[in-house]
Parts: sequence; C-alpha cells; structure tokens
Amino acid sequence: MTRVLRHVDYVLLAVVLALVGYGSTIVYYATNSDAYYLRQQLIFAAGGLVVMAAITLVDYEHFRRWQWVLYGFTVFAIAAVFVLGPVVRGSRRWIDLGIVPFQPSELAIVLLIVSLGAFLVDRLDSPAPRRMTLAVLVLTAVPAAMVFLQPDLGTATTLVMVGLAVLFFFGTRWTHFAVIIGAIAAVAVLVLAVMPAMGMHVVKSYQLDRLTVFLDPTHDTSAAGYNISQSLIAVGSGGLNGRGGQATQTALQFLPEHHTDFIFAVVGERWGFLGAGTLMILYALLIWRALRITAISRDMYGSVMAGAIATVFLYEMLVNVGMTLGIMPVTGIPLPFISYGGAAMVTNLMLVGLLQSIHARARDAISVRDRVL
Amino acid sequence: MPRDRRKRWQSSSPHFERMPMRPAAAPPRRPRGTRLLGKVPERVLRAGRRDRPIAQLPPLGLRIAGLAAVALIVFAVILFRLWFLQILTGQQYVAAANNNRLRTITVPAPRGVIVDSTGKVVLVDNRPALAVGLRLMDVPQGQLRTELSTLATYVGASQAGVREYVARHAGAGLKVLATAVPDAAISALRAEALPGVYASSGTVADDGSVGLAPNGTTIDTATGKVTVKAVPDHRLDHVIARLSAALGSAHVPASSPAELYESFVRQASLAYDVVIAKEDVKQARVFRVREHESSFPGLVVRTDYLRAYPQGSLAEHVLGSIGPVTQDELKQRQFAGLPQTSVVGQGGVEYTYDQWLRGRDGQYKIEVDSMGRPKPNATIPGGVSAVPGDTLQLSINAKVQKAAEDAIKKGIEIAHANHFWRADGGAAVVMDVKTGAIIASASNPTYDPTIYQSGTAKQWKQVQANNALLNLVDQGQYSTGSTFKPITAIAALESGVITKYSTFFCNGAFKRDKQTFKCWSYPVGHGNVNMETALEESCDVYFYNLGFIFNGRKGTELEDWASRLGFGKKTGVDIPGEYPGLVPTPTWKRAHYSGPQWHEVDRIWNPGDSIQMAIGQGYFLATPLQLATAYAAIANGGNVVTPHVGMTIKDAAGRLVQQVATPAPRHLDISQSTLDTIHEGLKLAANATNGTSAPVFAGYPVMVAGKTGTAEKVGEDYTAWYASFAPANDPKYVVVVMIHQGGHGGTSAAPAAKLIYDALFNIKGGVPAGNLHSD
Repeated sequence: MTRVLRHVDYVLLAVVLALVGYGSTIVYYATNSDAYYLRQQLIFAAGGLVVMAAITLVDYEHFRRWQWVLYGFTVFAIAAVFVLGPVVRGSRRWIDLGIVPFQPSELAIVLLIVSLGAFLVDRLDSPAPRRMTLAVLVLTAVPAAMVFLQPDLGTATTLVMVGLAVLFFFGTRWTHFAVIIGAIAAVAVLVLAVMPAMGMHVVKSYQLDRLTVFLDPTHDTSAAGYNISQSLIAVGSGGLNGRGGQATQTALQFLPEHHTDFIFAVVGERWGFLGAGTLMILYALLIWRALRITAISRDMYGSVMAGAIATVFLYEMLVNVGMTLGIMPVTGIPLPFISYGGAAMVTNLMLVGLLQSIHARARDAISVRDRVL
Repeated sequence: MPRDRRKRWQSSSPHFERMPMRPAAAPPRRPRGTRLLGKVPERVLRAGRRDRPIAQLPPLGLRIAGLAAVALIVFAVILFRLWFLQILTGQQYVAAANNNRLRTITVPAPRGVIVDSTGKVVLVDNRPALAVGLRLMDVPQGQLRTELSTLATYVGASQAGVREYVARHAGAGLKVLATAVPDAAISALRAEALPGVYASSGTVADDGSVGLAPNGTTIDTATGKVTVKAVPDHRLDHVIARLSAALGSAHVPASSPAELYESFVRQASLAYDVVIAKEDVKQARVFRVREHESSFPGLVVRTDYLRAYPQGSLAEHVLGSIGPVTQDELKQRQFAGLPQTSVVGQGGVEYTYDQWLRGRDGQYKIEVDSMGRPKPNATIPGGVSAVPGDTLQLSINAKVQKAAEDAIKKGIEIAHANHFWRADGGAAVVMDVKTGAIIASASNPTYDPTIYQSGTAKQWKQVQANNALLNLVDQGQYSTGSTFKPITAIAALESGVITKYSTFFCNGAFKRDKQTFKCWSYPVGHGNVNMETALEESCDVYFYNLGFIFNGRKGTELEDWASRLGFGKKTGVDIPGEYPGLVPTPTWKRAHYSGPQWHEVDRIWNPGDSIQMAIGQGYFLATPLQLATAYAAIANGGNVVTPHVGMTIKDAAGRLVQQVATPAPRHLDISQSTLDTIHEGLKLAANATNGTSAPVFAGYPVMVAGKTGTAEKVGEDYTAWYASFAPANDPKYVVVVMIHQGGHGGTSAAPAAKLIYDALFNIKGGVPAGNLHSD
C-alpha cells in the first residue's frame, strides 16, 4: 500500500484533479449557477475518485485472470439494458440499480480495454495472428453493435476505438490495419450511401442528419444544424478572454445540452480562447502521462491498456470538442471529466485508476530491479 | 481447462523472476525517443505457451510515437479552430449572440383622433385591441403552418381563415417557391392556370421556377408583362394543395403544402417580422393562448389600435379608412421610410393627413430565451416611446353633417313618395363660400366604416353591389341640368353676347336644323324672358338661344368660362380620389371619337352640342363639389376657392401643430353687374312667385338664392339637383344637393337643401311640401 502510494503518478493525479475541478466549475456556470448540478457532479467525482483509488491499489494482473468474466459481464449488462432499461429520449441506456443508475455502455469501455488487452497479451506468440486480429474484432463488434442498437452511436464508436487501440498497441501488423480501415470505409459507404439508395435505412435519419450537418451548418439552422450554429455562436462570441457573466448563449439556453455534450461551448463562451486553451493544455498533459505510462509499463498488458486509455481520452476529447467547433459530426460523446454526468465521470476515473495502477507497478518493478541489481 | 489456466497464470507470475535472464542495459526494441517518456523498466513478455520462443517484440515505441503524433495534430487542429472562431471572427459571433437574445418590440403609436369643427365631437377614435401573432424567427423551421393552425383554434378563428389572412398580409408580390421544376410539371401547372400561381416557361432568366402571389401581381418577364390573378377568397389552401400535388408528382423537394406555405410566408414577410394571425382577440382567448405559451414558440401578443367611430357612419366618405401600407405606397414620398408592416391611411382624410395622424411607433428591446419567450425583467434600458398621432380637426360640423346625411335620405323618401321609385342615392355638400371649408359632405348609399377592420365577406359584397364606397360628392359625375345655367349666364354676359336686358321669346321649344329642343314647360312657353326671369323660371329656350349663339362664335367662350369656374378638372379637395368631370370642347370630341368604330359625323361638334351644354346637358359632367365651388365663386364675387375639410392639427396635448394651408382663391374677373344679375335671378328663383324653388324657400327666415336642376340621362330617371347659397344678400354658405334619379330638382333636391339650411341657421322648419313639376 505505501509502496503503491509512493509510486503513484502525482503529475497525472494533479492533472485529473485539475480537470475535475475545472469541469465542476463550468458545470456550475452552465446550469446558471444551480448548486444542485454542482453538488451532484462533485458526488460523482468523489465516488469516482474512491473507485480510482481502489483500482490503483489492485494489481491489474488480477484482471487478466478474470478476462472472460469481465467480458461476459459487459455483454450481459448491455443486453440487460434492452430488457430492463427505461426508454429515455428514444433510447435505452440505463439500468436502475436502486441506489444508483448504472450505464453498462460506459463501463464497457473499461471492461473491454481490460479484457481485450488480456486476450491479446495471452496470445502474444500466436502462430495465427490473422485469426487473433479477427477474434479481437469480433469481440469488439458484439458489445459495440449492441450499444449501437440502444441506440447510442457515440459510445459504440468509442468501443470500436478501444478494439482498434488495443490491436494498435499490441503491435498488430500494419497490413491488418490497412484491411480493417478498408473494411470500415466499405461498410460506411454501404450503410450511408448504397443501402439507403436501395431503401434500407440502417442509420436512423436523425443520426445521418447529425453526422452530415456539420459539413454545412448554415443549411438548416433551426433543425439539425441548430445545435452546431448555436454552439459556434457561443464559442465564437467568447473571444480571447470570454464573456464571463455576459455569456448569454448559455444563460438563455440557446445552447442545447450545454452542461453535457456541448459543455465545451460554455467553456469557450465564458472563458474564451484562454480558458479553452488551458483546458487543451490539461488534456495534452493527460495524454502525455498516459503515453508515458504506456512506455514505462512493466509488461505488455499494461502497455496495451495504457495505450488504449490514451487513445480513448484523445478520441472522446477530439469528437466532443470537434463537434462543438463544427469540425466533427454531432455524436453524443461527453467531454472527459468535464461534461455533467456520473457514468462517464466514474468510467474516466476508473481508467485513470488503471493508469495509476500500471504506473505504480512499473515504478515498483524499476525500484525492485534497481535494488536487485 | 480451468486448471490449465490457473497453471498458466501461476507459471508466468511473478514476472520479475525472469528479469535477470535478460540484459538490463539493452532492451531489445526500444526506438529512439521513447526514453524521453521516462525511465523505462525491463518489459516482460508473457506468452500463453512457454514452449515457443517469442517471435518478436511488438514495435511499441513506434506505436506510442504514432499516437503522440496524432495527438499533436489533434491539438493543433483544435487550437487553430479555436483561434479562428474566437480571435479571428469572434466579433461576428458576438453580434449573432446578441441577435439571438434581443428582440426589438414595436409599440404601435395610437393614431391621431379626428374631431369635427367644434372640436367636441369625436368622429374617429382609437380602440385598443389585442392582436395575436408569431415572430417568425422564433418559430422553428417547418412548424409555421401547424403552429398557426393551432393558434387559430385558440383564438377562435378558422384555421384556413388564419392561414389565408397571414399569407395575404405577409407582403405583396410574387415569391418563388420552387426552381428547376421539370418541364412536365410546368406545363401541367400552366394548363391548370391556378389563380395566384406563376409557372415560368423556359426562359433563360427564370428557368422552370414556380411562384405564388395570393394577392395577385404583375411581373415583368422576358416576354412582357404577365398578370397573376389574385386567389379568390377561401381558396388559398386549395391552390397550395394543387400546387403541392403538381410539384410533388415531379419530385420537387420541399413541396408539401406546409412547406410551400411556410416558404411563402417567410419570404414574403422578410424573416424578422411579426405576422399577426388575428386582430382584435378577446381578452379571455388571449389568456387561453398565454396558458399554452410553450406550445407557441415566438408568440406575440400586442396591443394594436383599431379605429372606432363614435358617430357611426357619420361622414365616413370624408374620413376614409386605414390599412396596411402596400409595396407601391412605400415607394411614394408620403410613406417613404415607413416600416414594412405599417398601417396607414388608405382613403379620405386618413390618407391625406396620414403623416400627422400616424404618430411614431415606439421601440424597445427585450431579452428572450431560446423559445423566444421574454425573460423576467427582460426589458433592456433605453428605447423610444411611442408618440401618439396628432389630432385632426375638420371643418366638418357634425350637426350639419348629420342633417345633410338625413336630408339626402329624406330627399330620396320624397322622391319615392312622388313616384320616382328609382331614387337610390345622392350627395350633399355644404361649403363656406369664402374659404372653401367644407362644413358637410354627405354621400348616399352609406356604409359601416368598421367594415375595413372586421367586415365579413357578405358585408363587402353588399357594399360593393351598391357602390357605397363611392363618395358621390367628389366621385359622382353627372349632368347638372339647369343648375349650370348661371355659368352659361356668366359666359354670355362676360363675353358680351347679350346684355342683362336682352330677351328671347319662348314658345315652349327651340327649333334649329330640323331639331327641336323642348323647354321643360313644353308645350307651354315662358313668353319674352330676360336673364333674371330665365334664371327664375329656368327657361330652357332662353339658354338654348345662348348655346346656339356661342356655337356660332369663334373660340370656346362657354367652355372656357366653365373651366375657369372649376369644371372639367379636379377641385384640389383634400380628400383623395376625386373625379375631374368633363367640359366638352370640339377638340375633346374629335379626340374622344377618334377610334375607327366612329365616323367623321360623330366627331364634328354640332350646334346641338353647345345648345345642350348651355343647360348643363349633353357631354357635360360635373361633381356636386365642382358645382358647389362654382356657386361659391358666384356668391363670393368671383373667387374660385379650393374646397377642403382639414382645418387644424394639434398634438395630443392640445398644442397647435399646424394650420392646414389652403391655396389662396383664384380670382376671376367677373363684372359686378353680371354677378348682381345672376344673384337677382337666383334670389327670384328661390323666392318669387314663379321661382322654381319658391314653394320651398319663399318666406324662409333666411333668404336663399338657388337654382334647381333636373338632369336627364338615357336609361335613368331624372336626377334632381339644387345649388344654392345663403344668406342671399351676404352669402356665407353654399349648399348643393343631388338626388340621383330623384326626379325634378324642386321635387326632392330643394326640400333636402332646406333641411340642411334648417340645421345651418338653427331654424325649425321641417319638410316642406315640394312642388312637383318644375325644372
């Protein structure tokens, strides 16, 4: 315990605490200084930090043993949502566990990183690398497809990113990636262009609208393009220093989903380029620490997991911020540590816990080695 | 299987067992650069099967560098985008954010009140009324038609009615609803010829576009002007449905009826305007709408001012109406710079004095939320308050006006009682002979002036059927009959054709060139008559002689004098829309009958034309107001005044803003002896034993000088005229009455005139027994 505490990455811890503090503050402002949301967010953060600490203390090696249980639980929990989850705004994402609501699709990000990483690392010297790559893809596709059907397009793409990231850091051959990317492109063309032409609509029309409207948000400013237009107005009006208390886009609710998916627009409007830039620096530090942990991990399993975590943070940040700035499609991916919401907060802190665990074991290993040698 | 597994796990842990077996200083694959990331420990590879050598270590460093590079690019792109949005183009978004949250609210200014000459009787007042509408920019795209329809049921109006009202009031002109429409659909639409729809043929400029103009319009196309017919009432939904069907079958996008409707309204009302769904909504209904405000994004409830008429239809033809300003009007100087949605005077003095009456609308800004709902304490400091319109005082005296209107009705009754069943209307005008101030101006049939605000289709039909909107005082052009004779007399005396002592012999008819012109008393004659007697007894033969003489002279003396006295051209009265009447001349006749369907014989000025004109018949046409102006000139010594009803303009606080300026009278050089002769003749006509209106005015407390007239028109009964002034020896007022198809002047017009004089001089007279068969 003390050894673990000594070997925690304090830079990472400081960055994460800064992000959580930054996020709680902007949630407070985004909700017109509603203390309720602030309190809730702080409770989520506190719960998440406890979980993070717990994971830090556990040697991740144990997760490897439970890889199939964890994977099975993921799929089972997502499936349970279809049966037990209430329909909220047209989709089922939650299960009510009595005390706390539980969102399996968010937890799936953590569990998939842990289980897929274990699956691959166990087969490091497999004589059939192609079959293994295919197996990982299938193992990724099952929960991702189920989440897509909830429907929750954003999280589904994050799960796909997890699968690809695990393969990437495991060292899957470039040729495999070329084939995978080619296949994804082919499916995209099929789903978005060929099948609608034949009268089959896999992607719901609102999803398609959101995916394409960012290309020309002025096309229809009151329907699908409304969110983006309002978001751009909010960010743009922030200028260098932000509008502070004059942030009318948020205060008057022109900006939809302003404390959840579009919270970065609130940051941009209220605190301007300097505030948004500061947040970007925090994310850069986060990614840097994650990649550093990837590099120093004592074993391949830790490296693969840390690399995947770095990828997930980068991906979620890019998609969310890109959406807010009108350079990415609108998907409901929350901004890590900033967006209001318990499931994502706990999930992200669990990922940080994993990073800390990997870091601590790596430092441990180095110190042991130093002592031995 | 579980056992195997556990075994495998156990065998590979703890991992650092194997560490000393590997050289610590040189890890196998560590690309350069990764050392930057920190102190790197020995990496232990765990293989599932220990009996196989590890083929290769994955190139982890390269992969980390790869993701780091991607991250670098991501952050660079995001920061660049942030810089672009916030620093480079930030100001534009600040403006957009303000545009989002601020709405300009227009506070309609109460329109000025119109009072009568005493200042005590209010002729036109204001009535605050609640108008319910939508601010289009706050109505979600695609929701307009639905929202309007729902709103209609809440305010208690028919859905189709509200939709049509909004479309018709949105704005004039053609709006293009579809472009690049396939030829087949264009041809189909052209064949169907829907009213209000224009489908362009394939000219280069407007290739295959389809437009809608519910109120009709004229547009310039490459092939010339095309008139688009207005959509008949209650047919707009049908027209849009047909249009939608035609466009839909051609797979034109956004061609559902709702989309077409919305597209039209949004285009026509310039995006930021408020469209009013219904005016004058009851308070209780407004409450109901407000309760469901969340269902109506962009809801606007506004206090408008409607016109109220405390005196009912009194003087409605003079007062006129108000209505939305039209595109054409906005181009006129009088209305330049007004907002598109202004309501302005559209007739009568409401039009003429609009710039004073309209006041200035107030404006302030409020802060709204994303649903367009005002925030609490939403008003932004500043703004302009509404300035009420000025009060217009007319020269119209309500009492005399009422008397004049009643007099016409009475005149019509008298005509009916004397078997002139077709008497159907009339006009009366009372004017100050010296200033031209109109004291009463009455026209019949009348109408309810509120029809402009709340008239039903049925009411409009009725009003249009009997031409009630026409102000016969200055828009009714008639032959004036014998009331024209004093003008002929002036022309004859002033041209030296005759003297006041010249006589002509009347044997009941005037014969020239195989034509016989009968005197009204035919077959009885008037014997030897001079000018005064001719006027007194209205001897036609005397004036036939004058007409014949005029015809034989060079020049057009009779016509010239008629023109000088104001006939044949507009009087310049401050009520819009007056007609000029007609003074026929040989030149006019040649021009008028120049068409190929006429022959030379039709174009030649005949002696008969002059003979007829001398007694106010033939081609000659005049309005009652022109006749009043001419009689005023006779009464006041030869000054042709400009008739007017506007007197003073005062602001809401009662301070004088402006005295309405009227042009100085135009003085005509008429000798005093001529005027005296005519005055004498007219006095005799009203008072002497044989005077044509003596049965009405003989012994009247105020001496009246006046001339009866009985105008003939083919296909109609006689139209009765009476033109007069009083007091005869010091003329103050001129009174002209016309009863259309009311029989002889003395029968219905003179008694009506008497009723007006009763009111003017406060005399209790009552309806006299008219003489039946004078001229």
